Amino acid sequence: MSKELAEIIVGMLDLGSLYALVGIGFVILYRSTRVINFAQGAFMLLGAEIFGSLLVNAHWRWYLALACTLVALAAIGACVYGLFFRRLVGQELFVVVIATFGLNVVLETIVTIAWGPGIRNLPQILSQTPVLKAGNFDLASIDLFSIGMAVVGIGILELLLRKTRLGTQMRAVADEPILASQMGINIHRTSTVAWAIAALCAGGAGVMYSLRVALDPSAIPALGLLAIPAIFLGGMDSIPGALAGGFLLALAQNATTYFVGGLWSDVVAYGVLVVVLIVRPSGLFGSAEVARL
Amino acid sequence: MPAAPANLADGSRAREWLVVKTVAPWIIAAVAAVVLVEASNAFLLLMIGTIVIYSISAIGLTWLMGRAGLVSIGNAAIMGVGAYITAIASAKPVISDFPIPILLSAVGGMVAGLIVGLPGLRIRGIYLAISTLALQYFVTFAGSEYEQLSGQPSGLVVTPLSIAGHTFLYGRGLVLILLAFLGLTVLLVRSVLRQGPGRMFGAIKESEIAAAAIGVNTTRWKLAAFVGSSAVIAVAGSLFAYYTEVVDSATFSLDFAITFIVIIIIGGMGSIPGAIVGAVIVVGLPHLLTMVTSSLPQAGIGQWLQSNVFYINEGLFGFLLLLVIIYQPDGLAAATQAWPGLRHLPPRLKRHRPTAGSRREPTVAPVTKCAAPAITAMPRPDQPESGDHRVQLAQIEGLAVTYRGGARAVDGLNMTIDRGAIVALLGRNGAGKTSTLRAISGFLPAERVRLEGSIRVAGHQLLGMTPVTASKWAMLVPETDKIFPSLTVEEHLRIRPGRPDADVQEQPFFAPLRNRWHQRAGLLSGGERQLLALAMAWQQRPRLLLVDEFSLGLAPVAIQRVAEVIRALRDDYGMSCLVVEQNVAAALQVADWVYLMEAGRITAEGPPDTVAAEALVGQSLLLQPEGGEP
Repeated sequence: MSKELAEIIVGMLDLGSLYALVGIGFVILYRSTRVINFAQGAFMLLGAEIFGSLLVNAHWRWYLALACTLVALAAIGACVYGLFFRRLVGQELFVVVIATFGLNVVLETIVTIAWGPGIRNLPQILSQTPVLKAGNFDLASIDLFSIGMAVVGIGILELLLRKTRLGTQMRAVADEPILASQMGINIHRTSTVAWAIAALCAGGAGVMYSLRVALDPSAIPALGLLAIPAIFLGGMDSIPGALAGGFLLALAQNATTYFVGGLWSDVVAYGVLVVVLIVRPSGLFGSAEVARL
Repeated sequence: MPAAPANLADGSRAREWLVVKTVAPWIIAAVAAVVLVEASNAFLLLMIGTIVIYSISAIGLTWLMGRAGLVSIGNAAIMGVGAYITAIASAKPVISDFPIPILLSAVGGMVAGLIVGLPGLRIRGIYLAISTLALQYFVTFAGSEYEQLSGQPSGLVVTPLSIAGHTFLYGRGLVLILLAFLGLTVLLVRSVLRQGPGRMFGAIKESEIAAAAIGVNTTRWKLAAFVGSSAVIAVAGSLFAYYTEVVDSATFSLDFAITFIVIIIIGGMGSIPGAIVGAVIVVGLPHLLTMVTSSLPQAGIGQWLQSNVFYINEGLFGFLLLLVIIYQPDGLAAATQAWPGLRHLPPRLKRHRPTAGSRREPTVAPVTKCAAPAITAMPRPDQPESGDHRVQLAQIEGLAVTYRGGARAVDGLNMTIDRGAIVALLGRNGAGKTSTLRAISGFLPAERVRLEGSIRVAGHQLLGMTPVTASKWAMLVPETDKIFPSLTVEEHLRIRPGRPDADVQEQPFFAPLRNRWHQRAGLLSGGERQLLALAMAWQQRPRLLLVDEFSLGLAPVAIQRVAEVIRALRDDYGMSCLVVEQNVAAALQVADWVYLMEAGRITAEGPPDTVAAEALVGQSLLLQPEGGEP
């Protein structure tokens, strides 16, 4: 395998993990509340900023800072539901989606006021030098961290949805919210959990990006928006779809960057989105129900 | 004969008054705007110019979203198309003359609108919105590439507007021209929306299928909405280019697009004056905030506000959006409720009409396993648990159900259900049967339907309860959407803590479910779904089970099986049941007491064998257009 191809694949794994992690949160939120969340980028940014503050200003160890960030994001996600979106249950889907745009703007404004608009570099706590070599594959510990976080995150969430009563209830709410509430399922509880998970996943992805590249308050939310094509490619209501969509889109973007130039990589992402929307609106793994929206 | 001419005169005067009433506010507004522009200082002028341009763009968007019901967040992209075309054309010698750049922008906008509209023929709702998001990326990408290529990386410089040798730089004259364009836009869009096309858009927005059925070419009109509104929006972009004198791709961001959605949400979707009011608020508020904060003391919160007012203003439209959506969402709701797929938490997101078996009436209704002994007794059937005198479980008195449109589905319904009885409520389509069931189970208050009267079950007043609380006493098994398609049968029965699914497994009458234990419920047959729904309901142990059209779409054998289960739940657990049916034969397989319903009222009641004949006659009347009472 050529060096170039190996680089593309490693790049795909990194970016794909990020998309997958954001995407999982998106899918879980969509499935249990039918909210298409455009505020994932702001959650990513919040996660990165909180992590950065704990790491740099408070001198915490990175894993403690990470754990605390994830807990904080889960709490923020739950609050967002309790404060705003709880009031929108029963509203038109479009209204709720537009409200997530508003939420995105509000959260970004809060972040800018609290942390300022500048780019910050975090200390290199995970090295970029290869620790794992196989042929032309060079995997640094930061790569392993990203991939590991995505795999562990997805594993835990899949277990939660499949094996716990809360997960079953969340899936039931996703199927038939009104019937579920009649069956005594507390929809506000499942929705709160879904928002917490969505924010937590996005926050984790934000930490991932800021450790690898930089704590960039404009690039991180933009990346959150780019996760949308990945999610539609995989299918909005499918967890394996979020995974596949994330990695496929990352592959397409990395290959484009390599062969055509980095400028085109975002265009390719949205080109993929348009093609998916027209050819197969339910995505690769999504159920046909979704396509009827 | 003096009355007629007087009436005629009255009529024409009324018509004149109507014309004055609709036209006068616009004329007053126009005059006021011109006076305001003449009296403004430079700062106010800057604001008014922006408001006017945003208003034009918002009017285009409100046409598309509010009137034609097509969702778009591509507004900034279309404006970008107009702005770029104007910037490029204004620099070229031949085509830079007024109004060529503006016309070219309009044409460019129409082409862009057509391109966005094409996917809109296949996808709709939020999918369409997201595909317009892609347009946003493409336009800004192409724009920034062009800026790089033409050597103007910080934006294309626009040659100022020049009409008949007079150049309009930034100032009063330019703002007056913008106002003229706004006036033209209002006149044009109003006349389009008030005449034939407006009705077409309205029809498509209300129901695309129905519109197509009455011969509206929905494809053509949807594309027309995209093309027409995009022309308006692109002209706004063109004026924006002349106004700001520089066209930069960074301007036409997603946030910019959302700003216009905020404007039309604030003003009320579909309203032209609303679009202008929204623009005034969205453009004016940040300036107002800046003014207010600058007058605050230089300490504490005042200082904090002053140092952050720039960022707050940047995000102000987000705050506005959340506030409006949460506290004043009706403007939006009215505009979007037409899309059936767009309801958040919709009551009928999915329909799972069982396909197996068509609807047929069994020729005979043999009640084979009839355990209730008292069916033939003329007074009410005896209760298994209470011996010789019957105990009432539920009393419904004077129940009236009025929907939001004013339609009365149920009109003074009285009914009693004895403990341990299976009561059937029969009637033709539209008699108010399902409304009655939904009223009892608490679904209607949740849908803001007005209820009057009294519904008492086991001594509890259910009127006005939510489905969750009502389900302790009365549990509804709906006609559709009664199971969770992606959950397995086992998961259905384990949703709630403390309800062992083993219970269900042991019940002989739920035996068919055992073979399907680990299958997704979406794969079950219609009869199995009904059994599963009954099993779930039974797990809750309600005092009264409400079953809506259990026979719908089931084969006679399956109907019989479901009927047996309903009887068994009564015989073994004393669960009373109210069954709503159009299929009289199916209902007679289970019921010990029958109510007939017609136009929201009970018209007859009695034991099945006496009422059955009447009911069957009633059912045959379904075939006649104007069925009188027999």
